[in-house]
Amino acid sequence: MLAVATALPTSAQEPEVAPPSSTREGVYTVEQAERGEEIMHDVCANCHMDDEFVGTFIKSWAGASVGDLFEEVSTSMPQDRPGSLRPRQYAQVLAYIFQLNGLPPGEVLMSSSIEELREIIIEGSQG
Amino acid sequence: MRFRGWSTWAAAAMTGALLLGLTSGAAGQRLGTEGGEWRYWGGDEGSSRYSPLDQINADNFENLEVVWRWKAANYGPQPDFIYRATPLKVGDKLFTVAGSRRSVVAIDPATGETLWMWRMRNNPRWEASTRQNYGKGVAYAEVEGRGVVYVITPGYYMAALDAETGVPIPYFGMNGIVDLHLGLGDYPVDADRGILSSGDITSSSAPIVVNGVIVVGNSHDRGYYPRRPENVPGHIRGYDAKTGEMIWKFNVVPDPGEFGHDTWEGDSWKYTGNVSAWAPLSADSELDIVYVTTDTPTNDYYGGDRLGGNLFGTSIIALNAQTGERVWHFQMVHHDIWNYDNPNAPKVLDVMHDGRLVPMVIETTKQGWAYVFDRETGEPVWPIEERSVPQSDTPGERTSPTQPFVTKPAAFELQGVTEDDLIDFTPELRAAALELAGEYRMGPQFNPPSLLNHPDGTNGAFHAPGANGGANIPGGSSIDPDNGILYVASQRGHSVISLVPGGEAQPRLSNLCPDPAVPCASSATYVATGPGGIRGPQGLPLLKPPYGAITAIDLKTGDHLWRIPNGDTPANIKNHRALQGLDIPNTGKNAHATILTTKTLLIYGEGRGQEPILHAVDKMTGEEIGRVELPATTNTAMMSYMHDGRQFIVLAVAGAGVEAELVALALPN
Repeated sequence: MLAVATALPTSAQEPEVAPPSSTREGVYTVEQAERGEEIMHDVCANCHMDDEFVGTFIKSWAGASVGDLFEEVSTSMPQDRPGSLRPRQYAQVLAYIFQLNGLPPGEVLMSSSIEELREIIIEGSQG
Repeated sequence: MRFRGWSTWAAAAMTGALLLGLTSGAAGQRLGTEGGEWRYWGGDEGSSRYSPLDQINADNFENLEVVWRWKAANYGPQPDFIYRATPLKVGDKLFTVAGSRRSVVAIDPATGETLWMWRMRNNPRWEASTRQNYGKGVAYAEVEGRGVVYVITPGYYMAALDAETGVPIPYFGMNGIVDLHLGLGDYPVDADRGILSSGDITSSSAPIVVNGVIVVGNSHDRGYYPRRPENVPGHIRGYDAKTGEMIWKFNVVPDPGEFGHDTWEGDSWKYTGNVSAWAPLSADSELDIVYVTTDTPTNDYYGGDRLGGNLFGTSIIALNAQTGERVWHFQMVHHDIWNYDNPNAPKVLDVMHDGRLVPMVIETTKQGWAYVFDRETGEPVWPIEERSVPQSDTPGERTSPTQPFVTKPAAFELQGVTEDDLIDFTPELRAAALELAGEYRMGPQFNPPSLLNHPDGTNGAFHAPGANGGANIPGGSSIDPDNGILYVASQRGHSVISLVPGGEAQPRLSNLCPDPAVPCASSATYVATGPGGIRGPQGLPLLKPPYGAITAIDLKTGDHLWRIPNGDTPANIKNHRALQGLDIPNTGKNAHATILTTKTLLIYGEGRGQEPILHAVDKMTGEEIGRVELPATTNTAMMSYMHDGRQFIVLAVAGAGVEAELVALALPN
């Protein structure tokens, strides 16, 4: 957690580029995806294999926002304890799913605010 | 196929029941709760979920207010966010369970005050339990004048508690506890860890007590991608309600020489497990019969390791409660490879049909059918026909050539997936839906699972209603004995099953595969990647609405009376950017409504994750009469009782960010 906390951008470190508006633009960090993989295999793997989240999964969600997906996952999963992960953990799971689908990581932590995530549109990886 | 040699005693009792029913002359007879109580998980032994109370009615429903809230969050190391319990009401107490420890509590029906609490001492069996959550409740019986509350714990022990005090009954089992891992079969059993062979067994439901015998079911871990084809079978057992002594065992996977053994090819009977009765049980104590429904044999989506018809998988079984002898059975799905486990307590009801009072038992299912039988003989009330079904091309699999098709009542949910069933809100969305679905094999009911990366270019196969569609445990069904009507809550759903070789299956739970350096695969020949379906474009549901519904079925004729969407169109549809400006009729919520029938109303909550609203509708027309706001969303079927002249409705609420509690509603004093 400390490592994640220290990676938070301070105002002095904020990137000067516009915030990403598509999952193709590096919307999560490598550390988030690594932590998301642990959560996926500790918790989600009770019912889901990684294979479920590649290919059609991202094609289905393409055009919706990351906020839509975050809201869906955070209110319905895990099935036996919906909403029991922390918001940042749901973001980490989404980061891992994006990584599984070949979407690039970036320098900025993915938010766990649904409203902020609604500004990012889901797109599959190019090619 | 069916055994008809049930006892003369039972025949005499049945004749008595028929005469009793005929004298009152109503359309549907028998059952329903009595004296304002709710003595069984499903209200009465036939799981009617019907209360004859009428203080709350169409004129005053919207005056309902919250009288008390009982917090369940601290009954376990973490709050429970799912809470599927339905309390009993006996005399001056409510009895139910709470939290992942499945603590048993007695609650004051008027105020919500906790009167007593009991919990099982912790041991590794609790840690290893695959069903810590989902505790549905308790059973109650009177034994030699003393009220006794029975519970099955997550570690699969059964406890008998004094209803007055919550203290374990000393002469029941060992100081009030019976170890249910004992007596299942020839397994080594450790006192603290249970059965030591490969497999798991537990329970999430209450047992049922029938004429002095406690009948115990069971459940298992999910079977989507089991780590092995072996598991412990969910044999059904009967115990003496006073002493806890095991009286009988019915083998759901028959031993050599037992009926049905020949439906297991090779040695598959030796190692295949599951076939659990995880849904609550129902009974007819006059016939002395318990009605048991079962789930799929091990490995939900691949049966090549268990060729054959696989009796008594995915069946309804009528057992003599005193002896465990099979009276009759019906297998809903032969060689089940669709995870079509039976999810609901069978409904027991007498209904005037074709000029005679028919003793019915009804099972509502994930297949989208209500199977209706004469509960005395097992004869289907309307024909159930064996019809040819598509065959699997997965190596090693051998699908049953036919499956039973219910001809009446008509299905209450979409069955099978064709191009016509995909969303068509706009031409663009439809085109995108077709493209997404095109990767998979569409087909009718019982379309068999297929391979991921199949040589023909497909990645799996659709079936519908699938794992989460049709009827299921959270909402289930309810009956109106006054009018002979079945109400069933259903969800539109589908699964896309993609099979991968077990040896290539990715690691499952980290705690089962602790060493990342050691490959963690399944020894089953094939496993599914998961039970889910696919989304449509832009995260929308793939299939056309309604996403959730309640259907009323007249059991006198088998005809549907009406069908209504579950609540209003959800926000994620209403506000979806791709649907703005379109005129879309009410889609209903994508959840199982939780339903209760009373003398005056059909009452429903919208179910898990949906709006916290309690609705009242006209039983005969489905027209909405009123709605009241709840503190949080309902998660399971509710109950109703009368206490000190006041009718209460008690329901469990929980959800994302909402810790579990019971909420009691009544009219203002």
